[in-house]
Formats: sequence, C-alpha cells, structure tokens
Amino acid sequence: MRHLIAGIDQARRSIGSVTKRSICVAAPAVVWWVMQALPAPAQAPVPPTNPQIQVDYIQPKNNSTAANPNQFAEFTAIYAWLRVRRPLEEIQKFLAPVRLPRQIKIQVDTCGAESRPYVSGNPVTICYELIDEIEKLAASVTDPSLRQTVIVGTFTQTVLHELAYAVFDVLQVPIWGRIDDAADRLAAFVLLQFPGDVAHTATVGSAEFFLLSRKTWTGIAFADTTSPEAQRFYNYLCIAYGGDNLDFGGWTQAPQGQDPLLPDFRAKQCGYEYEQVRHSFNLRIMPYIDPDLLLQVKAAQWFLPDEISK
Amino acid sequence: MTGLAMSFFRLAAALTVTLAIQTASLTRALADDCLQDPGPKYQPIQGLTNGGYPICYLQPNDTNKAAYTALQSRHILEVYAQFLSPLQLPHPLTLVALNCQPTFNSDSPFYSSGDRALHFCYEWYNDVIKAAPMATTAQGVTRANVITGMWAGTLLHETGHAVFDMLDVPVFGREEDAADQMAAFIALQFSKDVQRTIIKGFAYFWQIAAKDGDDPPTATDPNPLKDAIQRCLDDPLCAYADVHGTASQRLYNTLCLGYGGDPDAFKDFVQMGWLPKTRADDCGREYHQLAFAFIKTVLPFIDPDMRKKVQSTQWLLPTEMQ
Repeated sequence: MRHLIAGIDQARRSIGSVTKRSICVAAPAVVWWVMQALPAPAQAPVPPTNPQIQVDYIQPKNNSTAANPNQFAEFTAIYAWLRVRRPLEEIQKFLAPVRLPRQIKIQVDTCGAESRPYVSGNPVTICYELIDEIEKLAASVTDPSLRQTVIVGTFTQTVLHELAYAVFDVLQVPIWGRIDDAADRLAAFVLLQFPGDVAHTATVGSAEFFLLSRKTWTGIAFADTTSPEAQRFYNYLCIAYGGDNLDFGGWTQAPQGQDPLLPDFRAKQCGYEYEQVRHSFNLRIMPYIDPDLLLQVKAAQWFLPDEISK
Repeated sequence: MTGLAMSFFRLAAALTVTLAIQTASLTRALADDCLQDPGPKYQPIQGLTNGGYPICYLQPNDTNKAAYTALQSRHILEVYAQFLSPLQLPHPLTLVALNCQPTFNSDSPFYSSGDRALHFCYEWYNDVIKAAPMATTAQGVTRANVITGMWAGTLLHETGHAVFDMLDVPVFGREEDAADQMAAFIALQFSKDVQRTIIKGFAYFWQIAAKDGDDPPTATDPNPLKDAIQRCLDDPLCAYADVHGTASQRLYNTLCLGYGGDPDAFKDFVQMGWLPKTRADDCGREYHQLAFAFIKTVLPFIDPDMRKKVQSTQWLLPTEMQ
C-alpha cells in the first residue's frame, strides 16, 4: 500500500496547482473501472440482491452549454457503459444484509449540479455531473494505479454517502451534527468493515478526490450544508486511522522536518471518533442488519481495481 | 487569528489527551479547595433541586479576581445548576469555576469526561467582556446580547458534550457541531427574547472571529511557524483538520437553527442578508432533524414537570437581553 500513501502525499503537495484539462472521453474511466473491478466474487457465495433496493439508470438529458459542449456526449458514454456493467446492482448485493422497512430507489440521473439533495420518499440520485467530475479530476493523477483508486473509491463512497441519507430516513435514525458529515462518517465506517483493499480503495480514493477539488472556500460559501472538501478529507482519514491505526498509521508519520498528513492533534482524537460512529451504528443500525448475510457480504470481494487485487 | 477565538475552539483538540489526567487530580483537590460563599447566600428557586450538579469556585489568581467576583456575586454556577436540574444524568456533573491558564493552556470552558466536570474558565469571562461590541451592531446585536449569548451558548455547548458522554448518545455527525446544535436547540425552547439573545450573541461571536481571520487561510504562509499546531492552522489544507467547524460555518449553523426553529422570530436574519436565502430554505429541515434527535435521545432523561418550571422561569435579566 505504500504507493497509495505516496500518491496522497504527492497530491497534497500539488493541491491548488491542479489545472483544468480538456478530456475527450471515448470510454469513460469509470466504465473502465467497472469493467475491471466488478467481477463476481470468485470464491465466496454471491450475496443475494437486497429486494428493498431498486436501481435505475436514467438516460442523460442534453443540458450541454457553450461552456461545456461535450457534456451530453460524455454523459451518454457514461450511461451506455453503466447500462452494460450495472454497478448499482453490485450495491444491491453489497447492502443485502440491511433489512429496510420500505423500499429505497437509487438512480443515476442528470441533475444540473453535482448533487441532488435527498428528499424523503424520493429516489437517491447519483448525478452524471459528479461521475463526470470524478473522471476529470482523476485524469490529473499521473499514477495509473492511483488514478484507478480515485475513480473506484470516490464512486463507491459517493453511492454509500448518498444512500446513507435514505437509510437515516427509512430507519428513523436520530442525527446529531450535520447530516452530510454523518453520511460521510457512516460511509467511511461501513467501508472500513471490509478487507483491507476495500477500505484502502474507498478511503484513499475519496481522500485524493477531495484533495484534487479546486473549490476555494471563503465567506458565504461556508453557509453550505456540505462541508468543505478539505474538512471531509480529514474526516475520512480520521475514521480510517481511528479504526485501523496499523494499516493507516503511515499518515501520522513524516520524515524529520516535515509534518505528517494527519496532524498529531487530530490523530489523537481519531480512535474516539471511530468508536463514536461504531457505537452509534451498533445502537441505531445494527438491529436492522442480518448477521448471516453480513458474513456473506464480508466474505465476498468488492470494488477491487485489478491492479490493487493483484 | 484572534486569541479569543483560538482559545475557544482551536486548541481544544490538542488539549484532549492531557485533560483527563490533569482534571482527575483537580477533582480530587476540589472538596478542600472550593471557596466558601462570602454571602449574601444564594436563594434557590423552589422546585428545581437536583443534587446531581455540585458546584465549586476555585481560588482565582490576581488577574481573574474581578471575573470571580462577577461570577460568584451573581451565583452563576448555582443558577446554572438549577437551570440543568430537570436533566437526570446517571452521574453527578460537577460545575467548576477556575483559572484555566496556565494549567490547561486555554481560556475556554470545557467538559472533561475524566472527572465528569464542566470547567468554567475565569479567563473566558474576561475574553467575552473584551469581545463584546461597545455599540449596537448593524444586525442589532447589543453588548449585552454578546456577553449573555456567548456565556450561555458556550456553557450549553459544553453541557452538550457532557450529555453525549454520560447518556451514551449516538452521534453520527461531528460532535462539535452536535454540541453547537444542543446549545441552539435548548436556547430555542425559551421565550423569544431569550432565544434571540443567545442565538444573536453566539452568532455574532463567530462572525467577528471569521472577520478576524479565524476561517482557514486560502494561501500558504510563506513563513511557517515553528509550533506544529499553529503551522497547521495557518496552512490552507491542514487548517481543516480541526474537529470544530470553521468560524463561518458555526455562524451560519447557529443562524440557521434559529431561523429553522422559529422563522417568524428570526426572519430578519434572512431579510438583512445575514443568513443567505439558499441556506435558509433548508433550515426548517435542519431544525426538525435536530428536534427529532433530541426527542429520541435526550428528552427521556428530562423531568417533564421540572422542565416546565425551567421554561417558565426568567433566567436572563431584561438588561441582559437588550
């Protein structure tokens, strides 16, 4: 895993200097990942599909603008390959142990923005705009392995993050703190329960994506209900380090004269933060988890880019 | 960065590890070191007795003598213990007024799970007095609003940490935001005057902190400092590692809960542009999320009769709300 950590360090040093690129997407990177990363689990039995989770890929709408004339073509390419590889169906199996009292629908749609707020009773939406943004930002990563990790990890984290809203709603989970951070913490916690590669791919990939964001936060921007990418970056790192300070311990170390990626004052709190999420999960969500299906899901392999699994 | 704001939310993370050890020894010393009430004696409000909130004023140093006198003469700890009396915690929560410098290297009040105590720093009283505006601001915030609102908001925030700890409350979001929510929610259960005093005072403080440079910087400091924490807080990325939200986030979160809880009482926040319309549209949902969490996780531990009495009691003087 050393190359992943080195990759983060590299991206960190270059934060703020990432330049816009014009990407011609013949076969979107996310699709390349889907082709590579979604073989059925080879040895463990395949978990069943969660019957309470419905999925849909909605054909993109043509919202192309003069500033982005290729958008429709890019979305259409993403759509075509999603229809072939069906990653949301993978999520249906991944979430097989969750006993939901009512159905949740998750869909990919054109939003006109990178996210569409969840409204109780409505579908959870993953926006083509965000998938497109993931690809574009990942394209600036020169290391192919890390680039793949960014795409896989961010897509996986995004789906779980968005689904967390619906899970909170359907299970009537009391939420203290900002709900968007709660969704991040739940997604990070869930992914950390799986074998090392899943946790690494999702955490490192998402963290890199947040680092690559070019948005500058000042003044009224802080009124947003979503937290700044850098804040989310540290939240993910902290939950991961708090839950597994052996695998992720490298983030708290640095050569003489340099600062670690995860500063000492935050790192000392991460065990507490992880335990807080675990405690909350056990109290409010664990009662809805089927223990036998949970074991099946944990035994299977998920979201693995080939290069990492080799 | 202002020393005041930094003292409140920046160093808390750095303190956490050493706090439990230091406060444990402090608690052992409490029984012997608490100052006697010089009188006149506090006349408690009838019907709000709960032995779960022992109080203690520790000896102030020379710098903090005025703060001690101001707090003790108003019986702040005694009043706050009665304010909290409907809350039935499984363990006593000690309320301590003390010098926080240099022992804790911080001016701001804090909760310590190591000794289950809320620590009221004399230095914080001095800081709030200094931070309060001499004249009423453009948003209609008075000096009294800030002094009262900051005191009440801070104590309620720290009480939130105590409640989460002692009641094993599930906290899925970031705990510091949750503690701010607790403060705002409790404030919003009182009269409109009290609501506005606390919400405006608390929000104003974060506005000033943001204006004074407490939000994370957007550019790297060309001359980084030697102190690792300070160097981090001056870095455009590392500054976000703090467990607290930025000053501006805390400003808008506070305004939003006020408006979400009572749009009529706080509509001027939106009209004057203090709370952006884009955020205001979501505030009702945010308040209801918070109210649901409170009802599910904390309300079962609140005595209903005592709660009604607390809600009908005048806690802030009219002058403090002007």
